[in-house]
Amino acid sequence: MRRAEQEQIDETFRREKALWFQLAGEHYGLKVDCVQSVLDVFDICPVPNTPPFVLGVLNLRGTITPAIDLTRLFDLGEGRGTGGRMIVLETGGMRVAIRADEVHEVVDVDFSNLMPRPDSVEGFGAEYIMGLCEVKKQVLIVLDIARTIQLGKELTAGGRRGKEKTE
Amino acid sequence: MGRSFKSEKIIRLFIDEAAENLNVLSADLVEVERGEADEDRLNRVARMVHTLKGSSAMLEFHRISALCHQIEDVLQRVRKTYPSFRRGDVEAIFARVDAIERMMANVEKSGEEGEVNSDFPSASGEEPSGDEEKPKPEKEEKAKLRIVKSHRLHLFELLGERFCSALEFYSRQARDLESRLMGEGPKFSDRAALESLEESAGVLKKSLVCFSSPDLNQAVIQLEETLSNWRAGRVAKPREAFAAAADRASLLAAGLEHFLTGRGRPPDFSRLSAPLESFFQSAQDDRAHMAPQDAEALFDRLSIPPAFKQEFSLFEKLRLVGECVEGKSVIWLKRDFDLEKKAELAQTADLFRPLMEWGEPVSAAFVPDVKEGRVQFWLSLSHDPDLDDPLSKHSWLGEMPGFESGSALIQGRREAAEKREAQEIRPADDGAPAEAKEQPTAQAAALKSAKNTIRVEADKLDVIVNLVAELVVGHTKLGKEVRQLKSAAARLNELHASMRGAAKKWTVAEEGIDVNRAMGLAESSPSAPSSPETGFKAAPAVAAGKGLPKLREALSRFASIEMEKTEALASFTTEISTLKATFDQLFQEFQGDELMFGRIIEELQGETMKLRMLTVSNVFNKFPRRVRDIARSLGKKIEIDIQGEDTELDKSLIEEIEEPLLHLIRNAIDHGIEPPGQRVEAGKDETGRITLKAGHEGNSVIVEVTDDGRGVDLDKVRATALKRKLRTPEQLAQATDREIQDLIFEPGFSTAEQVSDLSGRGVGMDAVRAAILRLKGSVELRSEPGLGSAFRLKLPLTLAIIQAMIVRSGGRRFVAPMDFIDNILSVPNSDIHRVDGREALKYEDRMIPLLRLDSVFSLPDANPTAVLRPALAVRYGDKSLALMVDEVVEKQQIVIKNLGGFLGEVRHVVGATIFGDGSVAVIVDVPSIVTDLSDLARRSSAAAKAGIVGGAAFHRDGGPRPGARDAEDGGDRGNGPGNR
Repeated sequence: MRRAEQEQIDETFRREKALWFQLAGEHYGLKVDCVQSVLDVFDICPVPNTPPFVLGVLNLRGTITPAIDLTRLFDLGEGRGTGGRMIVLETGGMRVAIRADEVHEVVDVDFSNLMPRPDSVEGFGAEYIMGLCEVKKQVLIVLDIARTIQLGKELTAGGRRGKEKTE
Repeated sequence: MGRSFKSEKIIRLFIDEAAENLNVLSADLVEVERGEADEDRLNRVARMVHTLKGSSAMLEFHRISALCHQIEDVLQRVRKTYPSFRRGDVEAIFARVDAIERMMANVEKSGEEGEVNSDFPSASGEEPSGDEEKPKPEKEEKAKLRIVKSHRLHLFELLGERFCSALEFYSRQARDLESRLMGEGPKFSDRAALESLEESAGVLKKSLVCFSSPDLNQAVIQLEETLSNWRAGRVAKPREAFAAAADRASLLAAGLEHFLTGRGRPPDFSRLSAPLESFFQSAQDDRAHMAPQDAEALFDRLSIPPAFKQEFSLFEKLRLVGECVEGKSVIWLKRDFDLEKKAELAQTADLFRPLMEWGEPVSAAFVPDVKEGRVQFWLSLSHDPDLDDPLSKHSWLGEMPGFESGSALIQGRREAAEKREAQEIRPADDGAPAEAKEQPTAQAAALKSAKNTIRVEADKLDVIVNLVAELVVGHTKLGKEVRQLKSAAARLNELHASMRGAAKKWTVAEEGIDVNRAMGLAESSPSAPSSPETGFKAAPAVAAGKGLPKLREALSRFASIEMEKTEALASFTTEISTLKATFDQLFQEFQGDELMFGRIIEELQGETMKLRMLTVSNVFNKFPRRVRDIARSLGKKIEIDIQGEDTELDKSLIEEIEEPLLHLIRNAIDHGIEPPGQRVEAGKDETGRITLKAGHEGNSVIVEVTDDGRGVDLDKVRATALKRKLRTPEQLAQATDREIQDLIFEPGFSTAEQVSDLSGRGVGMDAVRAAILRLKGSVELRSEPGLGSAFRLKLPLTLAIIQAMIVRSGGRRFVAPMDFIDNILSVPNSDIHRVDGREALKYEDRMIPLLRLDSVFSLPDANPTAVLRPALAVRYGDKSLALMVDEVVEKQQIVIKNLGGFLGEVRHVVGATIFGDGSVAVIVDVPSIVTDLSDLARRSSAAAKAGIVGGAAFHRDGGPRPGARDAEDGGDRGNGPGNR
């Protein structure tokens, strides 16, 4: 009983945590419950015939894991391009690593009470942003990472189809 | 409520096992139906039905269990007259097998058997057993009243008249035994008949012991014992022994019949108490020499729960003690039954059947617990002490309601019984005599081999495979560290040597310096050397004279410091040499360990991969039944011959080939094999033959489906190809026979004149080929008009591990499966020809297209100035091409991994692999490249045109190729693949 309660508490606790990272000069947050690990970027093997935002695949303890770059997915301008760190996510039954220029820390975020996105924010489409929040005097753009990854997947498949049609 | 002990896992296990059994069963039944089954096969059929009956009863799938029971009855009848039998009987069995299969499907879906239309061809006119509907209240009352007796009850008392069919079955068996016995007479010349009698008695014993009737138990045990002594040639008084055996058989039958009809007087079982031993020659057992009171004393000291203990009859006590004395181990166990669950009670014997196969039943008793409305079933079994506890195999036992078990422990031997009380209890295993181990029965061996099988989820295997790969990577790193250590050790050696040299040199040098003497000399000289010309402040001679002692002091201090230094150096050198020795030794060990781990890891990797291998019989066994059904529905006579079913194949492949194979077989039956009339006209046997054969060929598994039918009718194929507009008449006119033949693999082709419900639904051979190609296999058709066709499938041994060639192109590393590589060519630019604007190459007397791997993947040419490059001659199906790369690195065994759900399928990429050093490379999808040849050739040639034209490859204009973003190969740093 007690353990179940504890798990319940942990679960609620987890839900209110976000991973704060930086990409192309902007600060972002994503719900921590789909984050599996954060790694230093290591060798990424490029995969031909994939869209540019797919950096390639990496060896994550014996499992091939695709790595993507959100700056290329959303055209956020040039991030650092290479280097940085990999945030390994698992969402929608898929495991994907996203590149971040810097990963700061896990912060408390009240997801039910996010600020709406100002119109001036460009790049990400509105549906991929859950809202904004302020953490340690820094405004974070909170991403809907599940939808973002889903978009990436659709573009990967769609791009392939489109390509095949034109050829 | 009653199912509370059924976990999902157990049901899953049951479904898997049952599915496997049903497959084999179906295949065997087809053989039975053909009249070709030998005794072994018939036994296997019976055994499988029985197993299924037992396990389904245990899980309370009573309908399935009842169907099994009916099958057993029919099978019994078929066996009696086999190889001649009533057609309808086998039909009836098939119908029931089908019904069971449907019920199993329901179980899988919902956990319940569900209602399945059981409108069967009549089996035998018998009522199915185990019907639990509408119990007559009156009888129920009676049963309850009887229970008030509160002591051992036999099953008939518990079940009343509701157990007729089983009773009838057993009494028939007993009668059968009796009459066979009488038929043989006391001479018993026919050894085979004797053996079969003994076996029947053994089977009957295993069923009857669970009836909890001490009399029946004794009668049947004595019967078996007599027969077994007889067979062993140990009968001293044949006449008496025969009479005793016949008497027991008849007592059994009479007893059972009495229970069945309830009429007449019960037979007189008291005759059983007459000892049989005197009929036998000096029996092996100490039992014969043990006085009953000794045996009883020993029995009292056995650790058996009192509730069970008090129910033993004298005979059973003696027998149990006898088994212990012979060095057998004895276990007991208990299960609670709900008195309301008559059907369950009726299945007791089936429930415990697996245990009876494992050990020898000694006694069983139903002991009622009136208050709880329950009855406890107790069972004791003796077994070879070598055998492991059955609980580890039959885990379901522990899940039974009220289950308890334990070992009946006693001091091993009779002599031991005389020892002190204090030592009384000791594990029976300790007393295991050597002779018991010498003769492990076939049954025990079978049991042991069965025990060696466990079911594991494939996912779990994959996790292990990944972890092993991790281990390999870790070990590679370790190897690197060993090499680093080695050079560090060498460096240390050098350092040590030079330290030692220095220490020695300085010690020697110091020995030559004597400060005192030198100073003495200096002081005794008339004046200190002073030289005003040097430009130093002029030192007065007086000062020099005073300074000398100070200099002497300083010098001697300096000398002693120097000495200390040298000494310290010497002692450090010694210390370091000790350390060095330790280091060297440790390093040697480390290096040895690293090698050893390398070997173990390599082996581990190999074994892990083998875990996924299954025999093709898992699929093949399904086909005989299908063939029979399909043939029957088409009015054809067909036999299927299966060969090489022990060939192993990766599990994922096993799952994938079933559909294509079934399709091929359907096709062979539907299109290949002619109706019987036509066959006879063609001078063939009326019965068509389909051969399903598996075997190894190099790194591949070959599966062949051959029929002796009419073969592919080329004219018909041509006509259809025209009709379906697959080819123009001109194309057809030019095509070779083989090309025409292969048209049947093209999408939308179907030669069936009338679309039957079996094949020819437009998803014919092309679907088969697509499926096989997906598995990195190939399919080939050989056909002789009028003689038959053979489809030959070539499959990789496993989807997970392949031989592959590591190549480099566009500055990156790629992997190409060896399966498709015909040859490695070395191609000078001058050999590249342009045909119709496309690049081509002469290979084996013909021109084959040339593709550049870098341009296939839109990569820049990493080495535009090259004049000679390697190319892989690849073949897929009947098409060949040359795939040009920059470098062929090496051949290696690789593990194919998919790219993950996010990327899904990537064009021309089939997956990725991880090398020993942890780096990743992409695996080239050769088949898709060959298939997309024309698109790619255009691109490749365009790219080549821009770079190299006709061998003039010395200036790079770099025009059409923008610097691709990923020109630098992230995954390719380090020492290249496999340098370990």
